[in-house]
Amino acid sequence: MERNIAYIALFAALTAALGFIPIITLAFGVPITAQTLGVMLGGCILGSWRGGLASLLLIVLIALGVPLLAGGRGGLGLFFSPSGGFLIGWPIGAYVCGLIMERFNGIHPFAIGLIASVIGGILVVYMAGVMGMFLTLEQTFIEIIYLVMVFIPGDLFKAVVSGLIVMLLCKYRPESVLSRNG
Amino acid sequence: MLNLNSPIKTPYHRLPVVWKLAILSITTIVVYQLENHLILVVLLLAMFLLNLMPGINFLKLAIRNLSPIIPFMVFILLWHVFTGSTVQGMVLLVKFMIVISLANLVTMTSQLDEMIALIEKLVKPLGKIGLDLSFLGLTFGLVIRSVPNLLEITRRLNFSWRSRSLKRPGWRLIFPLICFALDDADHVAEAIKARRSNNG
Repeated sequence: MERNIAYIALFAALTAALGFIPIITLAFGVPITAQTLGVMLGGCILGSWRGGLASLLLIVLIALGVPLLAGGRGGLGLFFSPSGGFLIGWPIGAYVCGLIMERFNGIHPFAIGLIASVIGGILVVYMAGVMGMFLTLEQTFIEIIYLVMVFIPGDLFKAVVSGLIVMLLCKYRPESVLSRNG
Repeated sequence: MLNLNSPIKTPYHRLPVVWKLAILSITTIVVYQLENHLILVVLLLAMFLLNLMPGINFLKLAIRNLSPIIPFMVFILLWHVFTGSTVQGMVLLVKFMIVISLANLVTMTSQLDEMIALIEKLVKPLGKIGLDLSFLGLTFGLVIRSVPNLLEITRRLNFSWRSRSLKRPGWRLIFPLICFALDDADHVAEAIKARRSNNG
């Protein structure tokens, strides 16, 4: 119980901290942060329900006005903006990442980490995000998908990093990968 | 303390959080249904005045809090211009500005502990079905305490990296940072366990 609380809280904090680390800086100076990588890793390392709760805890704190979103943003306003769906997708995405890791325990950690991150951290999160934009932007699904496509390469890169980190953790501290240890 | 609450005290601070959230929810539903441009402009003006009433410094603070959303709004407007629906895009932008600035006003004028108390109250019924929610306040506190700690660790890792390499560290810092966080989580778990057993 205590371990679960500590892991959930620390992973929520880690995801928040990753929002302040630019992993790539684009040619025109816009930094891409690793916050969604935190969502993927939460599910892949902690497992479904702990990973989902870590992301849920983070978005509740963001909603309450704690500036934990990338760039020091926070508050209820974010949930009413067109990108609010992505935030709501985080806990679901992390849950799915964890679920895939738990179900396919025998597969190589890099491969399953990458697959789980792509499905949970990209597909599921984008589905929620696109749905949110569809409800607020009055545009067609296709137009909205075009609109968000620009972020996909960056997220694919994060999924690869997530797979690598899962692999390294499985090799050097396997006891920490709760999704594969139950 | 990490939060977006305004240090400038306003009459809105005295309103109960429940009321403010109820007003925000109702306004959101109504604004997204509205199509009359004049009413929308009047509501936007009203939002501006609500933010201006506590003083110019409060308004500046509100604008500063909203500024990170501006690039996204510009992007949305440009997209509508590009797809040939400029008027529709501008109407949407006005709706977003009304709802987001009201939500920002609620955030700025509601204390974090009041919000946490409200959440604890809302989830209380879940305790009746056997869920142990006594740790909720503790987890909120743990996250808020740990973020500056992890950022400090990141700063030190960054410093160590730069002292050895001319390349930017980027994603390479993430693995050691996760190891620190996992170690920290183990220590925190032991501390919580010790505290709980001391309290009986």
